[in-house]
Amino acid sequence: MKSDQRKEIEELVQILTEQNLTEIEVQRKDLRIRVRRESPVTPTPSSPSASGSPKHGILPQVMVGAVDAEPSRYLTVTSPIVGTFYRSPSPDAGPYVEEGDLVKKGQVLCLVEAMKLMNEIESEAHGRIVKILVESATPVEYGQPLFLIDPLPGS
Amino acid sequence: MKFCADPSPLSVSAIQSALGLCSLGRDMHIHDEVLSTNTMALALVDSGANHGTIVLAEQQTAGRGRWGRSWFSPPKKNLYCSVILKEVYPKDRLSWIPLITGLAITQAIEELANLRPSLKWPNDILVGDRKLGGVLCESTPQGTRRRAIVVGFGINVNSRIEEFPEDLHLSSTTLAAETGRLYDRNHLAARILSNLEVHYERLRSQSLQEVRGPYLASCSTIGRQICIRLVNGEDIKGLALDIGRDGALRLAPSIEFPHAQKSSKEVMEIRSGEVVHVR
Repeated sequence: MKSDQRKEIEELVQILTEQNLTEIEVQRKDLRIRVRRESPVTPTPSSPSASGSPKHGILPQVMVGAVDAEPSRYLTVTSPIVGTFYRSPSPDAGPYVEEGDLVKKGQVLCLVEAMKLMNEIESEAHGRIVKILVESATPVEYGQPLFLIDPLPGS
Repeated sequence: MKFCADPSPLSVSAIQSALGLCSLGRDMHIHDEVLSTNTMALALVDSGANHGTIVLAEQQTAGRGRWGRSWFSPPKKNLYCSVILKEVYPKDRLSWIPLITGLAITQAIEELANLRPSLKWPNDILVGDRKLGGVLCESTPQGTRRRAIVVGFGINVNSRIEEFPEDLHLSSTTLAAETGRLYDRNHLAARILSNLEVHYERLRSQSLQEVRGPYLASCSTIGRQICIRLVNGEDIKGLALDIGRDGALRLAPSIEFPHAQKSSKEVMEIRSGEVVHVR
């Protein structure tokens, strides 16, 4: 496992425990990471708990690689085109959103540029930005996850 | 070279009478001064503007290029225009809209002036290596009622090079500087809009080759050694081979570059970055 993958998994586990969730799944071009926790039948010290102390006697489990898709409570905002991802409208401007921000349905989250067409990408739900998955000014593929949003009830 | 005073101000009636039956420009707004015509057009999209609505300005105080770049926009001499496109188009051809806009502009200039500009991928309008015009397209989100593409362009028409900021003197040109005469911006705007409508309709309803062929004929990037500066500052050098199905520039790189999107081992597909033609 590469160190940046390990760091990302650690971050996901931290979100999992902080938010008291049971599962997060992130998909990339060639990699799918699912972080899941459940009540262990027997405590196993060798369980791959990547970081943090599990709450309520629940141990995080980390799975990396091809896994069956299961519904997650988080909405994933994906890129509708191949292009370059920008978190701000210009290099000097502040980002559209930060992790932890509450966003409204229809709010602009980022730009994806292709052929000098700047496409605004919006949130499909009211909710909180849990994770920004791509660095600004880097290439993105069609369907690549850009944001994880924790939708608010009723959205 | 001497230039007389401003030949004629922008006029809705002058442009519309030259447009005839063109569906673009039936709603038209001309302002003395705006931040940028794209900013104004995006606001009009929010308030429900019709397909084909045009925004023109005599002056922009914050003319914009790609990702925060500025566009020099002095008053009353040049053309600053934005077009709102709202009608349904094949989604996989949206990324051709910036390219056909560049094509519409180069063809309009060819028709009105004794000048043959070329397109630097994707849509800079060049005379030789100097920039005569630029295009910036912005699309509003897909999921809301305000889905639209705003097509903005700026063309250096009647201003003199000496009026430009010094750092642009070698890289910019104007129609007047190239040909020694002044142009009616109303005629130029109407010609560009008519051409844009033709290419837009072809893009929507005909085979891609109907727009790709004319684009390739006007594009001076293909077949050349180029250098592309990506937004992360990385430079990629190579031979520009072709235009891909979505309008991407297909490049045979001089050496391997890990970050660009590739269609195969040998060919990279470039979708954003600043192209420099290498002599």
